[in-house]
Amino acid sequence: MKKVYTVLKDNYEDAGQASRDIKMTLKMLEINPKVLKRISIACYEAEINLVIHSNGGTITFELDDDGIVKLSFDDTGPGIENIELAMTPGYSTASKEAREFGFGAGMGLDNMKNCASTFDIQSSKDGTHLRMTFQ
Amino acid sequence: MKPVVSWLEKKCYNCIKCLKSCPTDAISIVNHEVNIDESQCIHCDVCMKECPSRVLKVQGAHISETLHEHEYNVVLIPTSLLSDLKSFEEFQEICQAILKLGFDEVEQYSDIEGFLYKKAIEESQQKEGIWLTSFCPTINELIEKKYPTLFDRLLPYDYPVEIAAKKIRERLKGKDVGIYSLCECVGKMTLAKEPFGNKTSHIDYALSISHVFPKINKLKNQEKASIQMNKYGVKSNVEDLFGNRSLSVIRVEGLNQSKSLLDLIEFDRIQHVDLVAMYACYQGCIGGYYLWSNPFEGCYNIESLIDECVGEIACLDEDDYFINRQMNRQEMKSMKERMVWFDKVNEILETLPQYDCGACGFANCRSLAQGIVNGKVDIQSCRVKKR
Repeated sequence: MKKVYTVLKDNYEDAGQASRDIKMTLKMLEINPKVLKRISIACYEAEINLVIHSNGGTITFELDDDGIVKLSFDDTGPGIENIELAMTPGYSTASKEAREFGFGAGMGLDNMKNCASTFDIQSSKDGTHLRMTFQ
Repeated sequence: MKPVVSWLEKKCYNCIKCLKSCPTDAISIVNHEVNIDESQCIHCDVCMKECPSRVLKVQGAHISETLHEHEYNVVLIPTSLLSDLKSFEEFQEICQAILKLGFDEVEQYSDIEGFLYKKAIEESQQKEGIWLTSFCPTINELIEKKYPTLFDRLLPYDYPVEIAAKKIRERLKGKDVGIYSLCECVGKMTLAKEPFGNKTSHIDYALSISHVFPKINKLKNQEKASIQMNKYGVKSNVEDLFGNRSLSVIRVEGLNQSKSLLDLIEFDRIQHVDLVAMYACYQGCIGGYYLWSNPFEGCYNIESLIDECVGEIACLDEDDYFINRQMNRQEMKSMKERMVWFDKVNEILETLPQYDCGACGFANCRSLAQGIVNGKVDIQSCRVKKR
């Protein structure tokens, strides 16, 4: 099963819609709640990142026959300058606007990594590509 | 467990208000018959309130039939009963009238609620993460059935009424005791052994307050029962009184608000709160379906009575209140089979109008599509397609 969602830059109003749909789908499929909890948190964090930091992009949700969930987040830039620094808990480059919405506490990437079974991030100025799997 | 909400066929004209209002899509109407899926029902009161012909009912026990079954009968009264009364003396008169229905003892459990109220606030501040109170049976069922990822965040406390029943059993060991719970809401009715077959309960029979109210009213006079209430227990029953605004506790009432909040908690978006007190009813337990008064004035009544609640708080051991909740999950098919089923549902859904009109007897087009895939109905059920 595969679903692709488009996420628009700075669209705070609809931020989280893709994560809601993915969560609802997985609930209907009665996936293990412990795994779903990790997926929900990581997916939401990553979706918000697309909204507040990127120029927009897509979320690809895949589920295989063994129940392994793969989430891919691909944007079109501007890229993360220093991934290592961005992974540090508390480090944040979020705008004042984003922080006012309650986002951008700087726990995102580290939190996602803790939730996912595998975590891979590649970034250049043309875009960031994040892959996570959950089982 | 046996079905809790029953449908009295005779006067039902299939208006579909019940199925449209059900917060968990548990209701369907097939061949003019209302079906309530017990595995989805969270035992709130929404369908019963919505039904214009009043054909959805919960039948409690009948004391005239059951009181002789035991030598000694004890009745547990809900704290929220206070909200219907104007003075504490009147409350004591009501309790005496309840006793006169044929019970040997009338017992309250606000002291236990008070203990758990304090314990919940204290423990949630000490332990990491966000905790959910576990006092509302309907909210607990909502979490188990619709938000399973948060089931392990429910405080591991048994219901105060259950603890009270257990304590009575211990105290009257060796006696043939029948324990009754007078209930202010549908959710609480489901906790007893009878009539719905909740075998693990310490309570024998569930009675609704409104069912016995006319009799109580007749028996009421100046005589008072010597009953005291604990103010913290009273607070735990009322949304507006729970916790303290300066603590990291939030209070939420109503199923829709609770669902919105649970959605956010699932995404870990509630980060500066330690405890969430959720109630299915408006203003908390005092909004219970079986209370004869109303929660609007009830809230005022209870606030003005709180200083008269001078009863002591209970002192409980962990053994008394701790409960290891297990999720009631059915045996599942493999993920592959579930995905095949899900794809079929989506395929049918695509061919349906997706207005979610409910005319077919299902709450929405997705539920109809599921019904079709599960072989309950065929696609001809869709009135819109048929035209």
